[in-house]
Amino acid sequence: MSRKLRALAATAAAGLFAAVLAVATQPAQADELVTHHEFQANCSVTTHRPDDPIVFPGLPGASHMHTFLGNNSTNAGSTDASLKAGQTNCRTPDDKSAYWFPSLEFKIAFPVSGDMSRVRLSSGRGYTWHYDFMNAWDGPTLQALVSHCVNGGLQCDPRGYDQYKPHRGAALGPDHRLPR
Amino acid sequence: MRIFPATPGRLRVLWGATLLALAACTQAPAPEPPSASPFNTTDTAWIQLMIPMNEQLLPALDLAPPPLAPFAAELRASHEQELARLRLLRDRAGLSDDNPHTGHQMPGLVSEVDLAALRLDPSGLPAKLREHLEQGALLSRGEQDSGADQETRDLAASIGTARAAQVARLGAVSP
Repeated sequence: MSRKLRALAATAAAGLFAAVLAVATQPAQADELVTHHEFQANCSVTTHRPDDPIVFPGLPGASHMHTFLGNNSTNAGSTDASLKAGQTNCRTPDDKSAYWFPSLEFKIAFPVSGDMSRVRLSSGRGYTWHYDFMNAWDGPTLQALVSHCVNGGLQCDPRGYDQYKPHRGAALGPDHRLPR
Repeated sequence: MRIFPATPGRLRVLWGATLLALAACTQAPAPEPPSASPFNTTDTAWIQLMIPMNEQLLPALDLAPPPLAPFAAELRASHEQELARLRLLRDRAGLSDDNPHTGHQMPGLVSEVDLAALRLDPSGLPAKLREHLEQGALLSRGEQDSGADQETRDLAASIGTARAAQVARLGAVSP
């Protein structure tokens, strides 16, 4: 399940990467020029643990130190079901996904340019830096954001709203949930 | 590269970052065994970690100074015996002999960098041995708690017992 979603994320992101390159070569002019296909997951740090539920499932302490965000129940034994039963601090309350990355003394903001190969992280050399994700999104909520922002060519905030294209509206309601 | 100080309470996750992340990810997820297999993902992750844990300790043991040499020889013997059993389990689980932790710096795993540092200053060996033995005990508890294959769990129990005794031995020979 999580594996499938990781592949999906990679596919979605591949399209995004092309779009980001296009930004670099074409100055934005018209309002309708599509420059992004993305939305933000805006989550806070929950904890730091030497765990990795994808690489070392069921083996607490097996990993180098990770910083976890989003779902507050994440640990080495997390499953899709345990995440769904947990709580999240993500701005979008129906995103109960677990997000994690190797712990740093500082944070890195993307996009990153420059040579990462000399940066040392707890996972080894800088070029091995990676972000992991175990999906526990509510399906219809995720579908609404992907459809509106990724497929629709917007640069969305966690509510699925692009501040540069206000006329396109938002995918989610004021409470960051699907209108019901 | 742009590095910004921490932004309190907020981390901006752009999905563009996810692309770089996934493309650069060198830690392959633990392979999912076929459903008929007695091995679960904890078993395979444990086997694939314990093999390099044991293999990469061996060259460090050659650096033991004379007072530690008898204990280092005991560790070599036990680690090689465990490796034979771990490799049989790896074969029975249908796993390749690739090391998914090549180049990783992880607790208790003696890396090339660790080895180079120990060659320059072997006085760090007891601390490295302690870290390795304690991490082996921790990992073996995890396998006993969450593993599925009985033979793998039995080996974890045996290694856990051995590590506890080895930590005590280390305390005696290198207080």
